[in-house]
Amino acid sequence: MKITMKRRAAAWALALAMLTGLTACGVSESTSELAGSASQSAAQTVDKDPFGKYEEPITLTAVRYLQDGIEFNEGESLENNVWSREYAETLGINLEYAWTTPQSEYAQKLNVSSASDDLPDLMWVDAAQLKRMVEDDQLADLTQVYADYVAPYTDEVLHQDGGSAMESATIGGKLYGLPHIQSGYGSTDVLWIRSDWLEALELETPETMQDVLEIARAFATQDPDGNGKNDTYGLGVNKGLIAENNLPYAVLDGFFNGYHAYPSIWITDEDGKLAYGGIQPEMKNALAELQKLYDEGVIDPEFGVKDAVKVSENVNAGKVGMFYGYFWNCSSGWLQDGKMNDPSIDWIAVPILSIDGDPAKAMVPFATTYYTVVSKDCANPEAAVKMYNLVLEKMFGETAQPEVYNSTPENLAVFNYAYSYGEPPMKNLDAQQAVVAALESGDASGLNAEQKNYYDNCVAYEESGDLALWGNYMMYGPNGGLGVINEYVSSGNVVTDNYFGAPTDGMAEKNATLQKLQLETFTKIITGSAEIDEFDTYVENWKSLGGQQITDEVNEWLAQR
Amino acid sequence: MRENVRAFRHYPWQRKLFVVFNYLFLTFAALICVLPILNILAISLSSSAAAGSGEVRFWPVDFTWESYNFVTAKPEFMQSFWVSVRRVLVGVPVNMVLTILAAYPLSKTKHQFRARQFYVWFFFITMLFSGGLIPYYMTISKVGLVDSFWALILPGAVPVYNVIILLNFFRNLPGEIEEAARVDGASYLRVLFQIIVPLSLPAIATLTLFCTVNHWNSWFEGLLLMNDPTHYPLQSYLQTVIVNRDMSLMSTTDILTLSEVSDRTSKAAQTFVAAVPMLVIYPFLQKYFTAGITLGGVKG
Amino acid sequence: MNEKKKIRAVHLRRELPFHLMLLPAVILVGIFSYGPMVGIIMAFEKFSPKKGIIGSTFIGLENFRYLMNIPDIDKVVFNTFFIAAMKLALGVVVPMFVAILLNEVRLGPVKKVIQTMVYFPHFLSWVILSGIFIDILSPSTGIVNEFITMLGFEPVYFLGDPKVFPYTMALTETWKEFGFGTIVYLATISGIDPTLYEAAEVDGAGRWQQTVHITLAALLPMAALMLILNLGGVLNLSFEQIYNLYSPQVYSTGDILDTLVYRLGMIDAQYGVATAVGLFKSVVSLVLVSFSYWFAGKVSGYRVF
Repeated sequence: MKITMKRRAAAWALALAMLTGLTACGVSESTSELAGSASQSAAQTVDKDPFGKYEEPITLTAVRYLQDGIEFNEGESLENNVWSREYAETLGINLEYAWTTPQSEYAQKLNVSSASDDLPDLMWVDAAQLKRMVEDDQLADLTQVYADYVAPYTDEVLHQDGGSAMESATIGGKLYGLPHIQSGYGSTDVLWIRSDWLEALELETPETMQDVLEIARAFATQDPDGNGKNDTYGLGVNKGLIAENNLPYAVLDGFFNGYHAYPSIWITDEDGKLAYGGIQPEMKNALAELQKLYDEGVIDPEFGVKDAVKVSENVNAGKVGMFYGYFWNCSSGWLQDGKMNDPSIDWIAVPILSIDGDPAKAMVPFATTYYTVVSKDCANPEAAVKMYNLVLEKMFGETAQPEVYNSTPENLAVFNYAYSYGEPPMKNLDAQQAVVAALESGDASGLNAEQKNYYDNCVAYEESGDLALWGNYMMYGPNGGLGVINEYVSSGNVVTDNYFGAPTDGMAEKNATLQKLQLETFTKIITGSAEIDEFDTYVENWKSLGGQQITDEVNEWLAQR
Repeated sequence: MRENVRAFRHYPWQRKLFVVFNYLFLTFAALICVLPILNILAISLSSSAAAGSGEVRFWPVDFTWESYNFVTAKPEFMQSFWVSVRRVLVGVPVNMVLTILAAYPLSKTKHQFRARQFYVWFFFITMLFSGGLIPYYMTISKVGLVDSFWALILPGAVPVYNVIILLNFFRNLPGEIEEAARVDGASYLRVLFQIIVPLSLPAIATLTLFCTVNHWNSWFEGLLLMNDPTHYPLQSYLQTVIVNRDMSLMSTTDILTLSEVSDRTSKAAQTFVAAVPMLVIYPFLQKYFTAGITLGGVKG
Repeated sequence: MNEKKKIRAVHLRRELPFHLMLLPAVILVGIFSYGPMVGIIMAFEKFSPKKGIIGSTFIGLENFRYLMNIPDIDKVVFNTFFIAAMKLALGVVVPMFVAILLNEVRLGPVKKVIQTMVYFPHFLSWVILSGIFIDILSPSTGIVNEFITMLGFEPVYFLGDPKVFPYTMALTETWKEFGFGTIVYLATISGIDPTLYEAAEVDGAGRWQQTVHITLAALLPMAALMLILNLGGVLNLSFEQIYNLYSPQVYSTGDILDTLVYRLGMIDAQYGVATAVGLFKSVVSLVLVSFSYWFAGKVSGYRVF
């Protein structure tokens, strides 16, 4: 709260300073421009409005990916929809798309374009592309335009995660991108358990990791589906092992968290320095247990060749009783399909549990994946900031009209049309709390359009039992995935990734090798083709193959903060 | 057929054994080739819940036309389908004309055409060396073909593999007819199109099929060189739906949108619909096919 | 002097039509194949988009040195060649074998049907096939292993055992593509002069001998042509297949140059190194092809092309 007020004050102060013509705050870079700058800035100061419309409409070229499943109303298109019109009418910005691709092809197309130095005004990039394009001097420095044009609400949202997202877009002290901020909390694991199997075997909902292990073993050995065959597994695992490597469905992050191990993030050690979670001794304990589970047949012996989709098939076919995954693993295309195929299947979501007396904490990875960036040759970099202001304000701000700009009553996802899209990190979590409160009280008046939608679906499910709504209920309803996460957040049982700068040189060069090393080693240990002490060798190798270099780089960054 | 059966009865026992095993083996070979297609077909006609549980084998479970309706209803699908059709109708003749024109001089001997060896290696080297993705894109871009339909036709207009096969074929044609025509004063061009080509119809039909399949199946250029997804040919469009996605970069909202749209059955339907034209054309052209490569085969 | 010039002029006039016929192809290939080839110098540069291909810093063999220092690069290179070699070998032998067998089938319709069916797998992409193969080749529930255990053997972990993985790749690729080769060889066979067989029979040759001395002999030159043509591209074949079927357990024998390049993001970020890999593969292909071309010429006295 205090921070918000301070930032608001700062923003207004800055605006006031501009208005009174104080040009000392580094407006122009070269002294030769100072002569003309007085009159220039006088004309410009009127314009530094976060929502200021260009009198002469400007046209900006842009590229983006189109989400699969994006839909338009009759007669509308990417160039003609509620958002394109909004940009044009409110801001005087005409957005022309040089090209668009489906999401899967976007990275390659952008890389080829950037290598040919054939860039539009606006682009979306991921962290690695951001770093590279800054190095290749292709992007505009947004520090100043951000300071000048950011709306207070935008600034607030973009700092709702404590500032990591903005930090990650800052290279050499300069801001180069506007992060499409997302909720890291939505990337924590919950434990999905076949509740009908628990009943069948007369087991209780687990409360400790030991309980979880017992349940896993029971599922694998006590024939929970009662078909007389030894064909069930207690813990689902996909070949990527952790969410970083494959889809976050049937991953082990949550399992590791139960042992206070955090495989893919940077944690702070006792000396206050940053250390890589994947090489900590707690990982070894977890791996040892996994090795035992594999040996006992609790884990599918073929997990090593199965990706998340394959495992999902097995799960829906009733072969796996428990797995760690994200809160949306219950939705259509995943668990919901299995339930629709066989309604006797039932799942519950349970928090990550601890192996000892210390409460388990959920690992919160860094969640911003895309940034809006501006080409160095663009004449109006501030347009990007203004557009983002408009998006956040109209969708989530005080004057928001979510049913027009976010998700219509007919469930048309119009937020997809907006160019820069960020989500206040607490959005889904707040939604779940609001929905549950409304379900209990029966009073839905305080819900916004998006929340009302979830609420209506929950009510419909409770009344009709329509399985097509089950997934939604298991996310936004009581006892669903989001409910579990809300527990983590409210009790503070989270560990966030403490490195959120841009990828370092070492990371760009060595990450792929280190990831391969980790994946190979862990897989070997779990399947038993390597002894558990192989882990120590792994730690040494990790350091010498570039891990130490990266650790040093990361700590350098820390020291400079 | 009766004759064959009668003949069979008279075979020595070794031959009988061989024939039986042969049929068994070949039937087995054919089956293992066809079963996966049946599996895909079955999935495409099953409910998504059943497919998502891995239940479908060779027969649809919960039979439904839903995925085909879904697939053909999508405007992108039909759009890209027609782009592919146009691509074949334009690209294949271009390929074939260029192939024929190039194979003929190259089929001449060193005495008749001294620069022959040079040209052959000129073409063949391009099968081995490439500058890579970026220079390829830049070239196409500089020539102004990015996002143009012709980007699907011109860069690959000369299929060197086919040229070499055809030149081999031409070489093995009896030379007397051509000599006779030359003596009568016919130009090389006339000889080529009025004598050589009619004699080579089988080989040409074969290569035409190769080109058609190639144009129909290729997806990479479409994805790379088109700016507007409505310009994608069919397989490019399919690739975007079926390919493994890098989910690590998707936002939660993206993933949720995704899960409602794509699922195994619609992917299966899309695969099948795209493959069907080829699967149907192929048996028809088979007769040209076999007669064709006959002579493309080589004399020792 | 004049004589020579005159002869050359005569030759040129006579050969002009040939040059003209080749002209359109030469122009197109020149632009679209040789044009991009300029980019090969990226293998020797530290590429920067702003400086472009010509202007980027020249760093000599630095990219190659970097490549050689990547951990396990030697295994990766070996895997690439090993798998390619097997695919090449199987890709020649299996279709020939099937073609010869198919040729023995007297029932025309059956022959045609089988011929058609074996071509089908060519049309399915590895993305689709990977899902199917993971099921079929499963050591516990897969059909193939059911069959194997029926015969009394231990189940084979085709996709998860590094010792077996390369062979699995070669075999599955062969399954997918042998239909194409079979057609080609079948056609070659049907072009064989039937009188050859009659003469051989008269001379007392049994069916087996006829097959070896006539059929096989006629197929070998075609096989040589196919082999050489395929040599050029075999090192580039496997990415899609292996990418969709491999996993950490089999990296040691399954990781190939293309999957390594892909994982290292080289295609996206380190263009110089990626180009260096491509150049390396091209040079190796050139050497192999040249050698085979020369060898085939020496052995059969025949210029393949």
